[in-house]
Amino acid sequence: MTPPDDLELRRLWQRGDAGLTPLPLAEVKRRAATFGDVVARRNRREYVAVAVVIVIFGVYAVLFPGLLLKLGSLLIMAGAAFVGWQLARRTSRPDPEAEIADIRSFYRARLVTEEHMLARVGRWYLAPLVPGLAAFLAGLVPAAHLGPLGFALLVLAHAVVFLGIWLLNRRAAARLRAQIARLDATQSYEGEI
Amino acid sequence: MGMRHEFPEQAVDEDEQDRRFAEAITRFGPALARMARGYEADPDLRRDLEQDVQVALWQSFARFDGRCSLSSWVWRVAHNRATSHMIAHRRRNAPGWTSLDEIALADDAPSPHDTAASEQAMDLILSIIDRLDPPDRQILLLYLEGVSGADTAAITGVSADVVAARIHRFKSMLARRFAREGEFA
Repeated sequence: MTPPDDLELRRLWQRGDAGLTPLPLAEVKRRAATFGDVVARRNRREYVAVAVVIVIFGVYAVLFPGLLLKLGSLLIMAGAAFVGWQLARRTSRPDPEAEIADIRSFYRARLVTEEHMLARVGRWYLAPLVPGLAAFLAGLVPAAHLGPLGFALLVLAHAVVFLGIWLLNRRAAARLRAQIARLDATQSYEGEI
Repeated sequence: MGMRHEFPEQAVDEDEQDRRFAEAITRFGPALARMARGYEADPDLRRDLEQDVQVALWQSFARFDGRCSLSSWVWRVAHNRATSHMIAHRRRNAPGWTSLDEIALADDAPSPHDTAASEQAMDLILSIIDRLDPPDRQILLLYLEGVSGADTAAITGVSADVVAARIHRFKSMLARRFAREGEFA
C-alpha cells in the first residue's frame, strides 16, 4: 500500500472544486456596512427574553399590591436591562481589525473573551437579578400567605436554578481555559489570560 | 494580542480596496471555497461562511499596506472569519473537536467502504479535518493548498517546527488509515 505524498494529497484536495460564488461588490459593501446587525441577530433570542422579563415585571409592578412586590418587580426590570446591556457588550463579534492578526493570536483572543464572559457570569448575569428577586420573593410571603416552609422552598428552588446556571458556565469556562492552556503549551506565547 | 493596534485605520482609498478585493477573489476564490468546505459541512451554512469571508476580505483591504503578501493577508482574514464561524456554531460542532495528538486515539473510527477510492480518500481527509480544533485545522488546510511551511508559520503565528510536526503527524495518520483501507486513485 502506498502512503499519499504531498502532491497526491494536494491534487486530491483540489480536485472537483465547485469554486466560490462571488457576491456582487455592492452587496459586499452593503453587508459590511450592516455587520453589527448580524451580531444583534445572533443575540436576538436573549434580547427577546430580556424584553419579556421587563414587560412581565412591568405589569406586576403596576398590578401587584405591596411595596416589596412593586420594588422587587422594578429591580428585576433594572437587572434584566443590565443583563441585556452586558450581553451586548461582552459578546465577541467579528472585528475587521482583529482579523488581520495571525490566526493563533486571533483564536486565543476569542477564547479569552468567551472564557471571561462565562467565568464572570455570576457577576453580570446572576447578581444583578438577585436584589429584585429577593425583594419580590419576600413580598410574596404576605401576598400569597406563605408559611416559613413555603418561603424556604421557594427560595431554595430559585437558589438551585441560579447555582445550576453558575456551575454550568464555570464548567464551560474551565473547558475554555484548558483549550487556551493547550494552545499556549504548543508554543510559548506572549500575553495573559 | 498586540497586533491589532499596529495597523492603520485606512491605508488605501476605496478604489484600491475594491481592486485588491477583486484580485483576491480572482486568485483565491476556488481555494477559499475549499477552505469553507474544511470548516463547514452543511451546504447552506457553508454558503453563508463563503459570503462572510468575502465581506471580511473587502473590509480588511481598507487596511492593506503591503507589509505581507496578498496570499498571507487573504489566508489570515479568511481563516479568522472561519474561526468566528466555528465558535458561533460551537454548540452544534464542538463535541468532536480535538487536536491531532488526541485524534490518533480514535484511529479506529469507521471509514467509508462503498465509495470510489478517491472519494474514500477525500472522506478520510475530511473526517480528520472536521474533528480538529482551529489551530490544527488551519495548518492542515494551508498545507493542502500548497502553502509553504514558512508561510504557514507566518500566517498562523506558530513556529515552522510546530507546523512541520503537525503536518508530519497528519500524514502519518493518513498513511496508517490508507494502509488499512487501501490505496487511493
